[in-house]
Amino acid sequence: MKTISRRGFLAAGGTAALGAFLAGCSKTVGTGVQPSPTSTVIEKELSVYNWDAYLSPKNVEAFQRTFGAAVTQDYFASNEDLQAKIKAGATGYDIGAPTLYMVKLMGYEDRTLFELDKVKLPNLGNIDPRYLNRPDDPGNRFSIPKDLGTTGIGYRADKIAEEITSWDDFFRLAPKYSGRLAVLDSAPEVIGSALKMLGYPYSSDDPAHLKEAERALLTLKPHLRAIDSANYDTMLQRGEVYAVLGWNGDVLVAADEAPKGADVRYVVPREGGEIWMDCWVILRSAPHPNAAHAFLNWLLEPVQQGEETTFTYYASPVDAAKGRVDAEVANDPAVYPPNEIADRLEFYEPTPAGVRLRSEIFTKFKAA
Amino acid sequence: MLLVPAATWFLVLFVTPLAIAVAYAFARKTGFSTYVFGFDLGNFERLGDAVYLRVMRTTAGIALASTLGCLVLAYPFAYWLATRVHRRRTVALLFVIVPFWMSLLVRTYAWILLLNETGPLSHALQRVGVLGEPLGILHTRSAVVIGLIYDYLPLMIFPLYVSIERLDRSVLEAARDLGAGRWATFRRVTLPLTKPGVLAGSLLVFIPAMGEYVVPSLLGGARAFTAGNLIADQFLQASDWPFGAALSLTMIAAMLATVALFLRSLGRDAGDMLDRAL
Repeated sequence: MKTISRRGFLAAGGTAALGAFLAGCSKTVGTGVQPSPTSTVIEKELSVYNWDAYLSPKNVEAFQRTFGAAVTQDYFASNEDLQAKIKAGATGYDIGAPTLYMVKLMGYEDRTLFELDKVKLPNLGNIDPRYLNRPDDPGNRFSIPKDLGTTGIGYRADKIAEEITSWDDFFRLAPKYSGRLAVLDSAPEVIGSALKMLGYPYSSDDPAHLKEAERALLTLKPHLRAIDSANYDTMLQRGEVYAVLGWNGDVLVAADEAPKGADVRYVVPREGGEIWMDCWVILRSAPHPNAAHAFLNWLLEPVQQGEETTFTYYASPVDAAKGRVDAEVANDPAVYPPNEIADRLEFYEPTPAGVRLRSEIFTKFKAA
Repeated sequence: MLLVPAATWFLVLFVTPLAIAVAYAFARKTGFSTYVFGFDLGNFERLGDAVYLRVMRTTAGIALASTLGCLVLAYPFAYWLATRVHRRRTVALLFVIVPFWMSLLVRTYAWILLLNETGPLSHALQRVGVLGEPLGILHTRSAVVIGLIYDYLPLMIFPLYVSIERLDRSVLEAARDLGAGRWATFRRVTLPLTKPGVLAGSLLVFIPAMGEYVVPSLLGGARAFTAGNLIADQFLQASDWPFGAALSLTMIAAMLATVALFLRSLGRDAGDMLDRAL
């Protein structure tokens, strides 16, 4: 049983952040030649830097058994957290799991990612071509699709009288359920969702749009119980909050494990929302690149992919995996959104101006 | 030559990081996360925004409440320890620091289990009729203050214990002989004489409480965003190291001013008391 969320883990931060900060200052990032994997013999260790509860323990065990490599995991709390720590010189990790937009920043801006050796990844062919060769990583130089999810609303139908179908409902009902709402601790999701409510593109960097979103968020703020990506699903489950702005898989796992009488639901709002794709990447500083390639290739087999979706409730990019997923999960429209819902979803595409304004707005939002 | 190790330590661990922080504080962010160094005051100008002043006020309020809470709890305990416990006093002092052997993160998560609406405390208070509804304290500023008091209590107990233990008993007897009641003796003799301990303990609690990051993150919720969270966010979420550095330097300056004020009011006993407590 999982009690903390997929994207949820509070990095024990203060000192780590300071260390990373200092390390970053003495190091030039992104120069030097990429060490290429020279061997088909894999190393006996593999270190995965991941979101929490985001890799099936069964798969980890099976990999360790089959390949004789010991897998260790460490966790980050957000894409920006992962980026900051790697950029600042954190080493020892082989594999990371950023969202696609962050692959672009880490691979092409920071140059902290390893250029994949496709010869060692024949199972890339299992992936639905729709998810390959995306504009953020043409030709998949750095990234392998991991899974897909959406950002929407989770709520307790037994606590909220109204049916929630839109972002407008979420914002409008906030005063009535004041103190019983939570949103993710992540600027793109929170601000993007406000933009969608207002009818603007999810990734808009128009200052006027963002100003409007800021105003909407500041009216929401007094009614929030928490701004949190780590425990919000547990809070929903035990009824501390009645509605959350969160990720589908987290809410679905919470629903699956909810106590009797707790009716946890997930909805993609009418105005639309975010669809995101998380990716596996190998870090440029990876100490075990051969084991990393072997692991990622093995993980792309339908059996393992099915197990991942059963564990995380996030859709696999490998179509053949759907038949391997528990029927209950495979038939859930919140896991595999039907076309009429998928049409309303957008990928986040950050611009420098948009990122800067978002982080300033989000800081104000949290401080207010 | 004897100064070389100390000077090296000072240079590597204090001057260098501080210089780096200063360099970043005057830099400017461009692109997604690249920085242009120079002499840009923009980061400090942003600090004038009312939002950030409010964060400072929230933080100071939480730190002050925690300090007072620690003082109220620690004083009677330290007094009892210094005056009533004669055998095994070292063991008693050891018990005070036992919680420190466990990770802060684990201890803080324990408070989440204790304080949540379906937790044992909530159930108990409802059963005995103190509360008519579930305990709604988790994810509020009060929860942060409780967590901080719990974490920092030993830092208050030790200086108080030292100062009370050093108290000359004959002075108390003299007060009694001269007709002072218990309360008058405490207020006019004991408290003034243990003031260095009170101030040293308060300093040891207040300063780290101002920079606290983990406890507000876990127990605080949406209404307890502190300076520590604000600074951490600039590095880990916003990728805005220049603004984070400017915030950190401002905090350091504010803390130095606080320490200076404390030391002035403490007088000569200050360093001595801190030394002994630590």
